[in-house]
Amino acid sequence: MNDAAPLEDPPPDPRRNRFVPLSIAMLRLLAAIAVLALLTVLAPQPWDVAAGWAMVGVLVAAPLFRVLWLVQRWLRRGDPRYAVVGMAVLAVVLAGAALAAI
Amino acid sequence: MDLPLVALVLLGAMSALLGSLGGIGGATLLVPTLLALDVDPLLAAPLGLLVVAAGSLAAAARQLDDGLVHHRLGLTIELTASVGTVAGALLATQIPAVWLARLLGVAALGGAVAALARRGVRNLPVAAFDADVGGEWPGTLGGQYSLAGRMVPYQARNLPGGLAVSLVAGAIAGMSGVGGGFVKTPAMSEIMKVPVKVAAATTTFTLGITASTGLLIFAVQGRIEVRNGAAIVLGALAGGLTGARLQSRLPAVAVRIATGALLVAVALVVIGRTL
Repeated sequence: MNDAAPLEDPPPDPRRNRFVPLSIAMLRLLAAIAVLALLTVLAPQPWDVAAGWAMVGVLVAAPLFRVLWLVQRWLRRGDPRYAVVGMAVLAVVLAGAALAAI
Repeated sequence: MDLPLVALVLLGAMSALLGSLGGIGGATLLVPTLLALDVDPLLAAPLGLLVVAAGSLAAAARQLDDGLVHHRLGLTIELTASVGTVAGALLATQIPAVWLARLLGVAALGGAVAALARRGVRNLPVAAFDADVGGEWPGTLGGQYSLAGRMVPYQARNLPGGLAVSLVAGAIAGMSGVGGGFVKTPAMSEIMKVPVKVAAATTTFTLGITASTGLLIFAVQGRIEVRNGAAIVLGALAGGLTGARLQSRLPAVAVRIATGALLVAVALVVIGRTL
């Protein structure tokens, strides 16, 4: 007689989908940039310039948003050391812009 | 700048495709080409960083799905790269263009030598990791990635060396508008002993942050031409998406050889123009 539990497929690894929300956000930002770039090239003045600066804004913000997403994830998951590293990178970026403005 | 928009779209596409494949960033090819077409270096630099940012974003979703990016490693070395970018962007107007071009050429040649010198695959698959998915290990600079259906563990080494090279790469990016990936990827692979495909993907992630830093400064300085930039970005998005798809399917050795050959070509163009 065999009392062992019947063999089952292992549950899916939860880490497989850990970046899905971030991946979707990156794709949406990418679509926004493509639309804004098209508008910049095709739209009449002054809409072309407005769309162009919006495109630059999204391009600048996208990687910073990604860092912020990682920081909050690492803070929630008990990895504060690398969350601090991420915040330090953001601080350097903002300090650079502030220095240029002075 | 008098270049037609169609030409700018094509330049952006080709640069981002090749840059994404080699993990060197599209601007490494774009900026020297723009200089060869008599574009003012102060205007070419922001266009280069727009391509870098677009290429990084275009590759992001695919590389996240593949588990190739090591975010902790990327942010750690980006710490010094961002400092270098800020310093380079603020000092760019003080440096003679000829010396800047020569610096770029020598750095590209160094990266080519590093990429071409090694043969074979350093990190080999380990059966114990076959049940896991690829990705980084929490709290460490180690991780694992899929190679031919098997999991390959790795651990980044020589962090001080990586941080120092990253500082230089960031300064180059801030001064010239190239992303500095041609320095970062070989450094991560050869100095920090990270698998080249992970190094290339992680570099692509960090280049987005480098580009953000530089673009913020260039915007404050009034050096961004948004209409020309949009044309180049349109091309770069198409090129970056294609490159990211091909990157995960190509063998590591082929990626390294292609990267080295690209860097030699870039170096010859850049140095040749200063003689």
